[in-house]
Amino acid sequence: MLVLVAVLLALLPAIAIIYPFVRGLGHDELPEEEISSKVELGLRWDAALAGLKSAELDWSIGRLAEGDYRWLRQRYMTEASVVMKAMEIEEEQQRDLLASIERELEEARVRAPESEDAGPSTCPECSSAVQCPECGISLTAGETEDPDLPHGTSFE
Amino acid sequence: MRKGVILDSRRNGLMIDAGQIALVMSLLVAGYATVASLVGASLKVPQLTASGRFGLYTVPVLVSVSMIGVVYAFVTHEFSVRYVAENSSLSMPKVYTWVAIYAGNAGSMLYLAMVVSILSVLAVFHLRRRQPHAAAYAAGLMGLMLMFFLGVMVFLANPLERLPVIPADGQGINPLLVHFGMFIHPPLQMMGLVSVVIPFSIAMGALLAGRGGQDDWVDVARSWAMVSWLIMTVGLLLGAWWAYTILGWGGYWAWDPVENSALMPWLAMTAFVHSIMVQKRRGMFRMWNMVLIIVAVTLAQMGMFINRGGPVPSVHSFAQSTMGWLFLLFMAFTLLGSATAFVWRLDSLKSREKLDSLVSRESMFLLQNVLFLIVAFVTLWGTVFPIFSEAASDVTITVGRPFFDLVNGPILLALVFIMGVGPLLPWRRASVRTVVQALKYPASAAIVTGVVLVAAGLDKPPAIVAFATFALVITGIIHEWIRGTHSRHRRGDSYPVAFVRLISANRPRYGGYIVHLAIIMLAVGATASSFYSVQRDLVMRPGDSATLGDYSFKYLDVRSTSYRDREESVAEFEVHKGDSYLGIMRPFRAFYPDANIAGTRGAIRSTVIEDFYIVASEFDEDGRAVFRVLINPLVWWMWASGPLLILGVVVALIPQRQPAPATLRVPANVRTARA
Repeated sequence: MLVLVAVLLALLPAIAIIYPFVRGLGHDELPEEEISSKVELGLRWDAALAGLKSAELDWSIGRLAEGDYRWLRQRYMTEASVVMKAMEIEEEQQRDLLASIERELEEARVRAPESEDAGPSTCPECSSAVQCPECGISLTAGETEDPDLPHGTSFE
Repeated sequence: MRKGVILDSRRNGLMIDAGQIALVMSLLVAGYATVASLVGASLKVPQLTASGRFGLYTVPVLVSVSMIGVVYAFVTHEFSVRYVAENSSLSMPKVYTWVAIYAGNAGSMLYLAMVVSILSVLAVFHLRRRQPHAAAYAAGLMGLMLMFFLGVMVFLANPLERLPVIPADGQGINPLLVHFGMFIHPPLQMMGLVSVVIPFSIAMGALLAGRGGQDDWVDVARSWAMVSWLIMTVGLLLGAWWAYTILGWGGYWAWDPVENSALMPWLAMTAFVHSIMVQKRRGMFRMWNMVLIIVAVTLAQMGMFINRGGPVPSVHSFAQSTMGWLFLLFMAFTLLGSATAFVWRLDSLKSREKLDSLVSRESMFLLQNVLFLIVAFVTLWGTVFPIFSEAASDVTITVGRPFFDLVNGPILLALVFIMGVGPLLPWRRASVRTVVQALKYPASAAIVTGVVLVAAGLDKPPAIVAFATFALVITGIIHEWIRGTHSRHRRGDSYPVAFVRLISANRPRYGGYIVHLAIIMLAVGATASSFYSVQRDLVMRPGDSATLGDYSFKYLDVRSTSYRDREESVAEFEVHKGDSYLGIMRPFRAFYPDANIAGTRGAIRSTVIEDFYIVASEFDEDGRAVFRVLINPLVWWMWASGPLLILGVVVALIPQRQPAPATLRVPANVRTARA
């Protein structure tokens, strides 16, 4: 009886261990590496979005001064636009994404900024591009750069 | 051990033998899972990693068979099994079988192996789809940890080892374990210590896979780290409660080596669960987080070493053995291996971004990392100092409470301050105006609190500063909740709905705030009882009366009862507070002659304001005894913090369900790993 029990106890892990070899499993075990730059861009996108929401919430409950709120919002929107450009997102999809961002920010926003008519503002990093005050996207196409990279570096 | 009669045959042999076989089998399978996972991942042989993973999945089943064998041996009083004979007796109620399983070294090792095996399976399952490359390495590391526990059991401390001579009865269970708290505290504490292995394996797995700097493993690691942190926290809280109610010295924390061994990894893990948010948000602190998780697992292993017959004496170690040095060696092995991997992959851990400003949430996280580690290492130094003093001078110098209170106290208060200020600061940077805006109400509350307490006549400036700090933290949290709820209410929600939606829309943030509130409750109770507790030691005979503060109490009588396993003496006190009659309080003391252990249990009358506490020493024949009487302010809040803490972590861990977020769609011509 003990021998039978021992055999059963040995069979369970043995079957489990052999099973992948017999059935040819494992094709998704170590998938081909996603291009690491794309992964990082995805994470930067998520982080920018989270930062925008956080700033929006802090500002809407009066914890963030207007100046800091605008500075943070510009930083994060610039980051988002840089990521979209680096990912070669089509313009129509960019607009959809930006509209989606605004909808999500609306959830956190409960009052409008004190100075609505701020007018176009310059990019905090390169100072030369002109940005839309609503969404932060560069109004001069093709000139948006990653503020964290040396001038001229792209994400190809 | 009492000598007994050799029975003519061993009963119930099949279950015991099956358990033995399963134990050996689990070691072999864990070994295969480790090798297959690590080799398969490094040589990129997917079927080998799959085979290792499948093998790992069977280990909990095999360990469970061993556990069933042990339980069966206890329940059937199979004293041919050494562990059963040493930790139970014929008179032991079956309900204490659960406690007896982990009362000794071998049984607690089996319990740990079971916990690690189950958690490993869940973690690998959780991780595999999200982080396939890291999962293979993580599975290998978890298997390595399992191999250690199983190997120690198979070769050195087998819970199913047979005795050559079968005693007629066992030694019985340690009487100090016969308390409701011991049904939960030791297993939770052990589970907490060993659960650190999971986030460690995930982080180290990502590092070994070359993805330490990719940050996509952070979410999974943080979830598991929070689960581990929660278990450790509840274990610590229950331990403090057990010490307060059962050890009978009127306190709950003595900076005992065993207590410290549980606290140290908790400190590192607390730093980790916060610091890793910076990595997620900003791609920073990658090196810091690897260091923190390595420190956490090292300190957890140190804790197991101290608990298991480490060289530092402790009043409440109960799983003494001579095997502590094995844990020390394994700890050294883990530390060396982790450090090697860290140095090897150092380049991949460089931060994506830099610190924008010293006045920012990131800076607060950096400061808390440093402070938590300082407290951890001060505690470590104070805990192990006796070893060095003995080695240097043959004199063992123990480091007592005054040292820890004096050094750790202010640092812990600074951490509470950061806990209040940090969340009020924005990410990246904060101007002076923002800081003023964020802090004006909390700072005002702190000042008002301090002034009111001084005006009320409280002395002890450190306590007043502490309470003022607590007021700052609470006000910051409540203020945000009020403002956020009010803001939502202006959009049409009723106040209750607005509040719920506020929390629901930001669960990690507001779950964290709930946890912070619970920590403040704990801190309030600890501070009040540490600084304002009053105590009297009185020699009293039946009929004597005494007072302490507003309480007056009369020692009515003592009743002594003999039980089969103990002599119990119960004193009766009639207690009044002012003119109000509060009732009868009954502290008691029991002596267990077989174990040569005495246990006391204080009589505690607990309210939200204060605890009135009476504990008895040994009774003379005429009922005379020394009674310690205490008034401990606000202790109730410490125990009440536990459920709130659990709630906060659960809220923070619930996945956010929301309408499709603004997700980045990758162009079709780019290959992706995710489906």
